[in-house]
Amino acid sequence: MSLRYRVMRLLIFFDVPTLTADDRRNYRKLHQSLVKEGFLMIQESVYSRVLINKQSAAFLEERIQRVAPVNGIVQSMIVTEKQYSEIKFLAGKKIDDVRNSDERMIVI
Amino acid sequence: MGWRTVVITKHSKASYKMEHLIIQTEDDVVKIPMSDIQILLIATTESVITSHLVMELAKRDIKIIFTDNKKMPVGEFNPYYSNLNRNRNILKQISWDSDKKSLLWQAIIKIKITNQAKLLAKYDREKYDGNLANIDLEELINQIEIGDVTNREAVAARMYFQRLFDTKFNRRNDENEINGYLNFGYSILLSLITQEICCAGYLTELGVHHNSMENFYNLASDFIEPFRIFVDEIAFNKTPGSELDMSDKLELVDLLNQTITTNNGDALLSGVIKTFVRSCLKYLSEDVENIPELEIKV
Repeated sequence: MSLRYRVMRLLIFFDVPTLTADDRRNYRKLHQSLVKEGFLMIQESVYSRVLINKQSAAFLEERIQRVAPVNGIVQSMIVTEKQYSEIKFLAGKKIDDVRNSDERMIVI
Repeated sequence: MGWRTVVITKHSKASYKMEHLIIQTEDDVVKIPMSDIQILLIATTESVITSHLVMELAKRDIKIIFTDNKKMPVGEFNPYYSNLNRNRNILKQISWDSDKKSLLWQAIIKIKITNQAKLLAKYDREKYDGNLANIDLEELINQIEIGDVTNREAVAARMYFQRLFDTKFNRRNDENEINGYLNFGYSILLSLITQEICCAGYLTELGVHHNSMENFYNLASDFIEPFRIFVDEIAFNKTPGSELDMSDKLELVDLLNQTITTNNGDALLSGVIKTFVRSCLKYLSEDVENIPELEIKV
C-alpha cells in the first residue's frame, strides 16, 4: 500500500546500421521512440531517462525492446539515480536539462 | 503516473510537442516529458498556454491550476472522461451508506485532531491558553462521536489555531498574513485531492460530511482534513509579519514532495494523500468493513 519511490535511470546504448533505406527507417523509428518516451541524448547513441521507480523503468525498457532494430546492437541498463550520480566526467560536463535531473518541483 | 510539479512563474509560452510539455521563456526552452508531470501550476498571468496542450493534459489527467493576479489559486481544470467507471461510481456515490459516511467522518476527524495535538506538542504549544480553558486536545479525541455530531472538530479547531498562532488569531480575517499561507497551502492540497477523486471517477461535489451548496469540492474538503497540519506547520515556522511571497508559495507547493512517516512506512506526502483518498472511496463504495486508518508522524 505504501508508495515508496526510488528514482531510477534507464540508459540505452545503441549502434545500429544505416546502410539501407530500411536500416535508416528503423533507426529513425528507434530515435523517435526514445524522444517521445522522454529520453535525453547524453551523448551520441547514449540516451538516458529518469524514472520514478524500478517498475516504470522495467516497463519502459520493454517498450523500447519493441522498437530495437534486430540487426543492430541495442543495450539497456537500469541503475539507481544515486549510482548514476557517481558518473565521472573525464572530459566535458553534465547537460543542464530538466530531463537530466530528478527534481520533483520544476520552477520556470 | 506523474511525479513532477511544474510551476510557471514568468512570461512564457507553454505548448505541446512529441509527448512533451514545451515551455519557451525569453531566453530558454524547457522540455518536460508529459508522463513525468503530476500538476501544472500556472502562478502568473503572463503566460500563454495552447489549447492543444490543455487537451493533452486533460487526456492524461494532469491537473492544471490557475492563479489570479494576486497569485492565489482561483481554479483548476478537471477532465471529463478519465475513468470508465465514472457513471457506475456516481450512482454508488449518491447512495453511499449513511452509517459508513458517519463512521468515516468520525475516523477522519480523529486523525485530524490527533495530528493537531501532535503538532502542538511538537512545538510545545499545547499548554498555551490565553482566554481558553486548558483542555487537552486528547480529551476531545475521546469524545468524538460517530459522525462527529457534537462537532468536536470545531471545538478543537478553535483551541488549536489560537494555541498554535495567537489568542487573537481568526481564520476569517483575510488581512492576516497567516491566513494567506493557509489559504494558499490548503488550495494546493485540495487540488491534489480533487485530482485523485476525478481520476477515480467520482464527483467532488457530493461530500461525506461537507454538504455546502456553494462548495464544488465538498468531498475533497472531507478528505483534506488529516493533512492540513502540514500547511499549518509551514505557516507557523515562517518569519512573523512577512508577506506571502513567491518563495513561500513554492515551499508550500513543494510540500507535496516531502517524505513523511506513516504507519505504512516512509512515503511522499502526495502519495500518502492519494492512497488515503483511494482507500476512503473504496470503503464507501465497496463491501469492505475496515475503516481507513492513517497514523502520521508529525
